[in-house]
Amino acid sequence: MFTDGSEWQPGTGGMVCESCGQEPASVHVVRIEAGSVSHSHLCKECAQDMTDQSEGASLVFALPSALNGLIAGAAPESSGHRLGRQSLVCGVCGTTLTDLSQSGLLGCAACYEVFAEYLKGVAGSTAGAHLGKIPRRSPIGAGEQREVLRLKRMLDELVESERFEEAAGVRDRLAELARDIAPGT
Amino acid sequence: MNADCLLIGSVALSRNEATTAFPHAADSAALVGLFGRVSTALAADGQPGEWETFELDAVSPVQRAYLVERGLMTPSFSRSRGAGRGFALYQSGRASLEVNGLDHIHLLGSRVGGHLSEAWATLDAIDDLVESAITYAFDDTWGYLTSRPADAGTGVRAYATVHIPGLMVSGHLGGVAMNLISLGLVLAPLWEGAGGFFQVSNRGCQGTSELLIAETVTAAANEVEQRERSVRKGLFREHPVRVKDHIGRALGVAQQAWSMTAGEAVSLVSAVWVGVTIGVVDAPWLGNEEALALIRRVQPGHLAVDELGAGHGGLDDPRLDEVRARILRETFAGVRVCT
Repeated sequence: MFTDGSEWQPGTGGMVCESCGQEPASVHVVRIEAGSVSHSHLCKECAQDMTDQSEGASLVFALPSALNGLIAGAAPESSGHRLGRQSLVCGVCGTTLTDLSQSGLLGCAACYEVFAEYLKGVAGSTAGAHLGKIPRRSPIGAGEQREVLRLKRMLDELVESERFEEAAGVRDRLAELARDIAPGT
Repeated sequence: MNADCLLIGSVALSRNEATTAFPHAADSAALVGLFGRVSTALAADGQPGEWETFELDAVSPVQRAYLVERGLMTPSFSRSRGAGRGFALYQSGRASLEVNGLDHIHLLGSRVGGHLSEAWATLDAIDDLVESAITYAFDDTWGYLTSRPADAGTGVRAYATVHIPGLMVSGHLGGVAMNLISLGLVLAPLWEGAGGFFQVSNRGCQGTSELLIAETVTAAANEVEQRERSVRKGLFREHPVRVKDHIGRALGVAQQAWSMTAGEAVSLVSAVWVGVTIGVVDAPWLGNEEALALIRRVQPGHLAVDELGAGHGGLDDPRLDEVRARILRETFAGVRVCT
């Protein structure tokens, strides 16, 4: 069994604690009482207060905000992609920082580089290299990933605007890249 | 039950293809192409019939509910639709694969009364198979890349189902949840908390390994269950009449009701099951597996498929509540509260 709660999407509620209105909301509190369910986004202190005050049959449990600090955390001014916070966009898939803050979702592998400064401190993440399983064959380089994604997007746009000759050239380039990085090669 | 065995241990694994935008940002043609490549790889694997592959749009709402109730489909994926969304069943339910949900690849595996490491081992092998068809998005620092940054890293979420009605009614659950958060874990309800069923899971996938995640979640779930046993004993010792009254009433309703919602049925079975564990109800046949099987049997998808069959009227069929009540009447007929 898998709970719906495990797929709770962060970022859709207010980012400020709904109780004190001061601190950033870092905990999603779900309260079940007399068969009804209510949701609140609270800071840690207010969430603790609520759980302490929960008695009898009323029930309070909490889920961490998975993107805690994502929007509230400011990226350094040196970020190469940054023209202004809301105008930051992934040139490969078109995802913007606003999209990310609203949906909590990245659009492609390249987004990890584009939004890197904003992804620091994502709930549950820890600094340092990946420690788990790695792909059986060497993953393709970030540059190749970006190039393929960029060309695919370009191909879609060219076809949509009926620029078929240019689209054919992009398609050929994609085919070349696909041969280079095909599984088993 | 072995100390490390869980009521239900479930594992989910997320992966994406490196050169295709994640599902919510990709066009239909890309998603259809990816589903096709994965389907071809699955069809070439093992014995004929080992994999059953479906386009999600061809799976009915009742079938989706049935799969969700068996832990073979996530609730959010069951609400998805559109070209390129696919689903595959491995060895009649040993594991399953959602294609183009939140991520391109989402593998699921559950074990009743088993270990998380067993579920992981199955998914690990399937993961290698899928990788023969697509090149995974991976970064040396982040690990496997996913739509939700919190899933990046191992891409593994491990879930341990715990039955903790004692902690719930005694008001201790908030403290348990906050304690789990401090350990990097999450407590979330199953069936909206009916019957005191919850899941403990990891909230981060980075800077750790798959087996360490499984160990951490297992250890935390066992600790929560241990606390539940202690609370149950304390409640029964301090309030024996109230506990017996609550369980006896639940058994009475289960034996006499003629119409019942799924949530009520889960609560009743939970109460009777607690009664068995503390020696209040004389039904030694109601062990963990039997109680969980009964709860699954009275869920809407299972009632529609297994009890009403081809003539069912969908998940809103008014007969579901009647059939559910009949099953509980028959199951608990003759069961008595110990005096």
